[in-house]
Amino acid sequence: MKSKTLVIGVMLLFGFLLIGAGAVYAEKVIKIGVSGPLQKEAGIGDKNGAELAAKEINEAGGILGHKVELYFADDGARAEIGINAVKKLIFDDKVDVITGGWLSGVGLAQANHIFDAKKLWLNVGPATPKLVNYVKQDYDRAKYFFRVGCVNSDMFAKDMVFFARDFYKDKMGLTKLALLPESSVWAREMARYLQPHFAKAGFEIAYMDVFDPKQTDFSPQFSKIRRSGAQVLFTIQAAAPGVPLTKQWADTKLPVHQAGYSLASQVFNFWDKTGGKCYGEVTQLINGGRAPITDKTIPFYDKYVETFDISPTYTAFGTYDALYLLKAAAEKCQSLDTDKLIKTIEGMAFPGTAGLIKFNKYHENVYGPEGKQPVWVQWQGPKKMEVIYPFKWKTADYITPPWIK
Amino acid sequence: MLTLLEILVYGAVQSAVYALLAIGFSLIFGVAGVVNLAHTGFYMVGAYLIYTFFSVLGLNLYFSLILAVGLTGVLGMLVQQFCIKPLIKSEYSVMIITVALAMFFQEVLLSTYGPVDRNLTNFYDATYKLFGLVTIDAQRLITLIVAIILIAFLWFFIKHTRFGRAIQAVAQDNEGAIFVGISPNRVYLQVIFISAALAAIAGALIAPTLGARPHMWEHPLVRVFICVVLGGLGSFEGTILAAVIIGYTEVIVSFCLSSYLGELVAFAIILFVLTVRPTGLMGKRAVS
Repeated sequence: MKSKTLVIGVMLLFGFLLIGAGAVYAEKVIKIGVSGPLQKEAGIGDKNGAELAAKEINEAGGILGHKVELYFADDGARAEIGINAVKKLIFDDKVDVITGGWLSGVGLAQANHIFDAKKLWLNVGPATPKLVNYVKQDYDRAKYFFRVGCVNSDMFAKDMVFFARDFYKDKMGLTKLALLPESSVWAREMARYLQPHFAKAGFEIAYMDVFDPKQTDFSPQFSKIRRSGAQVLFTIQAAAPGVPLTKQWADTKLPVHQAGYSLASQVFNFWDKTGGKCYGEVTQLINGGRAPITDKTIPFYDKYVETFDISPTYTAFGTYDALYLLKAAAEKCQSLDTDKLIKTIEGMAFPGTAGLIKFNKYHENVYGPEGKQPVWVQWQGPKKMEVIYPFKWKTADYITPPWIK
Repeated sequence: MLTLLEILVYGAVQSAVYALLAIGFSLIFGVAGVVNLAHTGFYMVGAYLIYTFFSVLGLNLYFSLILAVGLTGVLGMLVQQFCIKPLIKSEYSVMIITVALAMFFQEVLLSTYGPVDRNLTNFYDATYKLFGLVTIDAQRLITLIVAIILIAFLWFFIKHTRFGRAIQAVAQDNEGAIFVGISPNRVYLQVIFISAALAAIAGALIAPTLGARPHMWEHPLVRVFICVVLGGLGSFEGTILAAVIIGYTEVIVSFCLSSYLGELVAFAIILFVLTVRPTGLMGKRAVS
């Protein structure tokens, strides 16, 4: 009887030990889903930024002791594929938080699915102001959305006007502009905003047209720009590859300065893609750049280049900051509960790599010195994207493309 | 006056590119009845091959061009022999397998070169003023000249050579051609070689402008379809006429309205023509 009791006791002891060991060794994780066009540069940036942050955070002990696990879904830069991507993250991977993204059309299509699942959405890529309307219209349903990456497209249009005024008009005395947005929704919205605001800032819009992102020959537009007497061409392009326009600008020696928002032109490899013909082109970086924006910016930029051998896209800055924002919020409220995290993030002013991340009451990233401010860079050589504006962050003087007198 | 001259020149460049691409598609359909949806896949392969030979391996540009065009032609023959021929009796199966092939080429290139555009330098770097007024870069001028020469050569080849007559014989009556000692299979192989090679030349000529990219086959396929259907399926002259109409329409729309409306107007034209003339501009009427 005694020996039987002893055997049962030993067995129970082993049982408890095993359960205890299991509890000790079952790692606590927080699952973060990254949705983006993983075969395009913006999506690769989403992925790289998240991976770099996750690695650093895990090496430093995770978020409240939880290891960060990343799950990826390719949104194919198309709305219907984007919906499937977030469904995969929500239902198959069972993620706790969603980040990433690029095109506004995809983000708008994904929004309701993410709200239904009540997942914290640290949105990075889409710039349309329409996403914030969800929060304005029904806070309880859409409170999960935060625009962590870039400011919205109205804000970077505003910044474009400030740059044109301070740089081309006040510094160089150029006042005649040509405006060439691609035909995507956000680019046309931006162009509609820009026209009256450029006029108010003292510019004449000498030419404007909308182009198809698939267009490869810009001869008709360039011919009209040449005749319009425009001095600066502002392009707005994200879906367009950027290469044909830039190459033709240089090949035909179009006698206008080129600036604007060109997603393709924001990455190192644009120099190689154009065979160096982007020399002199100016582009707006809407979220980050190699400038002393915060103490974190240049170390992040250099580490990213060292790790991936490419410069970070605005989405890479975005996902990197999104993960660190999540970590800071969790540590501040000592919880991973979604509602508590939302309340905490609403009240935070977090210095990220691309500026101060601070939200208005509709979860919109604040623009300006009190929040985020884009930087303007000029291509001056291979891997040389020099900051020319804001003047406080300037790294080089502006150069005039050689064929422009 | 300047605008008219610009429309004339830029429209010619646009039309030449479309004609060069569409003519190969039309040729293989006219001769073998094959709707080869991998056609613009050959255009993409041509662009990547010239990039590889010239920019990666450092071979001479013109030697790279010849290699790229020749290899793409051979790839076309392999596709004909091993993928299309076994299914040639089923139009739908051919369409499915050829679109699958284009996607396969895309994925192979994507996994080999990655998603990033690859740059090919211009064949010649210069800017000209045609008629003293119209600004055009050398690459576009080369594209225009090469396309015109190739199309003229192909037309002469088909209409006035023994081999061309064999192609016409197979296109008109497959069985009749066999009776006079022509092997249709051999003709199919030769025609797909020409078709794929033409697509590769178009790809090589456009690569310096656009770059070599893994999805570059998708958009031109729509343009090729428009030209071939508008011109009349299988009609050589009809395809060229359609390419000229579409090319000039796009340029005129760009000058007079906006470039993004070019596709809309092109589709409006095709709808109108097919409504009043279902066989296309120069297609043969069906015999009941």
